[in-house]
Amino acid sequence: MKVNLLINNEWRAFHVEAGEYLADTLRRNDFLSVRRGCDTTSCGVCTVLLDGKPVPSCSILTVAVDNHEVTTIEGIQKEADKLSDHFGREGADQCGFCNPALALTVYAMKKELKNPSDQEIREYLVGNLCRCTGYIGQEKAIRSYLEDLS
Amino acid sequence: MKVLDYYRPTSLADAYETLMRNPQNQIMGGGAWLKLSPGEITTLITLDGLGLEAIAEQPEAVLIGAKATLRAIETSPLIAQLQGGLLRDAARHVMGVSLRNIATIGGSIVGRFSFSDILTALLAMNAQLVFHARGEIALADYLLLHRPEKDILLWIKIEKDNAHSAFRKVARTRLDFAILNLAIVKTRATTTIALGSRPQGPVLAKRAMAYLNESANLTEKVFEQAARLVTEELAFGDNLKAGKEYRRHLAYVLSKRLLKAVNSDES
Repeated sequence: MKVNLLINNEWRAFHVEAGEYLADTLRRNDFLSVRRGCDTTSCGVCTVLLDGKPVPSCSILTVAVDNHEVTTIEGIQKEADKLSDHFGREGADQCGFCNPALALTVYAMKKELKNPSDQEIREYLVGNLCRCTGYIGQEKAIRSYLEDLS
Repeated sequence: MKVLDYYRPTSLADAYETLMRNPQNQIMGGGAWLKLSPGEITTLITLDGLGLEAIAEQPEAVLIGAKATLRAIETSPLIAQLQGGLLRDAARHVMGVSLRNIATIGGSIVGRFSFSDILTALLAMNAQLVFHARGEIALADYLLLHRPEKDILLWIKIEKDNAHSAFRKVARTRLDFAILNLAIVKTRATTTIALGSRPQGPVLAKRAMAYLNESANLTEKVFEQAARLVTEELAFGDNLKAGKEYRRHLAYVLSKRLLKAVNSDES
């Protein structure tokens, strides 16, 4: 089946099987920042933005998002660089495997919530697992990133 | 689940006709658990673009489209006002935001997942389901059907009762399924108690409800007796998450605690 996706502001056409998932389509076409983790919606490392909202790309059929907008970390590179500076300062990343998905989720949260509290930040990021950091550094980095923007 | 073909119907009649054409054809909810389901689907039918994402207010009720996502429900001002915000409270406990951006209320209902927090809340709220062919049926009756006939769930209808409510989910982690979930709705006249993930699916605690609804004064002793009835009348079981004795104990403690909450202004 032919599917058109607006990926990072560029229209792309793909031929996919009906049962193919978005994470597989993206990775097959060299969007390797979209990680494959648990593959069952639990870990969050496959998160992309679909029409601006974070979604688990491992569990969305590619045909179901025909003619929709998909954003990967490459689509928000400037914001990701800023967030990365804060992560570095707070020691908030180690292996980096979860970072693209986390950055996309933080970006979506920033658009959706005005002045989120610490609790709201934790609630929003509950689906993004990190096996290295223990989350405290990430929380500090996200807070300082949001404060810098305001 | 293997999917052989995908179809985007132009109308509900088209969707229903396609659904009935082949026993292996299915309607897609949000698709969140599609990968984990066994079997093969000949044609997966989406309901996108048919207006079922809406959450609409009627004079006496709120209508929720079957395609409304759990995130849309969680953030809807209408749902926040509905029966003390019970459905919002249940929705926000379902895994993370990204999952809730794709999971739909229709998928939660038709999937009849025994661990569902949404089903437990809807059961306590006396939700009515509106299907394309069958018409209207109470969720409580729908859950009793062994194998419901194939149909398309269109709307979930919930009365705008002036109620206090409370919801609790106990799970090992924030992303895990419930060891037990419990929802209570208290209107001026009645109290409704639903428990799910026992690990069997959600049910009403009818004896405890009858006892409460016949009690002239709702005292701490009455709450204790109602909680005891909950543990006596409902079956609990074992699975990898917890044993039945632990679940029964949780049911007693949470029933008592939530009954106190809905009968004060804390809920």
